[in-house]
Amino acid sequence: MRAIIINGPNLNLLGTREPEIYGTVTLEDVSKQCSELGKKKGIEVDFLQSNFEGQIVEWIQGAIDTTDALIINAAAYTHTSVAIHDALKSYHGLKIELHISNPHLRESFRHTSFVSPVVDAVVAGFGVEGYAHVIDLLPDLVQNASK
Amino acid sequence: MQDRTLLIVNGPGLGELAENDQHGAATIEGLESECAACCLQHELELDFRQTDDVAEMAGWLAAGGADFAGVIINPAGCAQSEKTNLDDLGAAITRVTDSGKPVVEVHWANIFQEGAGEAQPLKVPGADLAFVCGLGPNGYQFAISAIATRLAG
Repeated sequence: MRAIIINGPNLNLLGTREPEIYGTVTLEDVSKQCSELGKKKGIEVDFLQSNFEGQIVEWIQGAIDTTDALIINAAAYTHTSVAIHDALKSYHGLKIELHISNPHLRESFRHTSFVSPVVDAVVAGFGVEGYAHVIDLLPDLVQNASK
Repeated sequence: MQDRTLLIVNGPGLGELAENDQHGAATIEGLESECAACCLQHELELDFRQTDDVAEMAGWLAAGGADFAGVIINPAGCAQSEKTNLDDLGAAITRVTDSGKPVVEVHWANIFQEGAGEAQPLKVPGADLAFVCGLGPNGYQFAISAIATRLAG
């Protein structure tokens, strides 16, 4: 099984930016954890981060037909990007929108998501552990999605 | 012992799950069995409830939600109900998370998809509320597993 995890702008600062919301674990820590857990579950994990909207679009395009699952934390682009919305519509594997915090508990401008309508599932507010929780359940989720 | 018991609360309309079923748990009883099996794997007990009365749901959480190891709530469509009841529910959820206990909001379907209906995410700004939608009954499994991991950590 192959999964791609795409992270959006400012997540490269995880562990340093607003630690009272996001904690002290870095994205590199999360990436390692996902790869190791993925190996145990038989999942090859590509863990990526970009501050550039177009790069994220290209990664989504590249994942079409080459991966079974796409997990996306588009961060701020979640609330602004029609381009990412459109790219996701072309991806037909399992799609999960992931957030470290729950955007619906934060500023009103985070309550709109261009990603949510075009994915299968939304997972939010589990902290950085959310990534591992998704990987842990991913084989079941992919299997159920294909039914 | 309630400190190893998960409270799962299902809201209005969820007593008639069969119409929404795509994944296997065709009834609320089936869902309860699946949740009980998942809790057992994590060495947790389960208190599984359903009500069509939003006030009752808020009352359950207010009365003793914080006594449980954690709470999973599927509010279904109750975000459209009278504001008073929603405030009570929000306050009750906040009280549980303020006590340090995890609360996870679960919706069966992806409520943000076009045509998904009127369900909205709960807006409880002061709470530490996690959220899952679109995983069907696996959403409950996800929430149980996440809470169990947090308890173990």
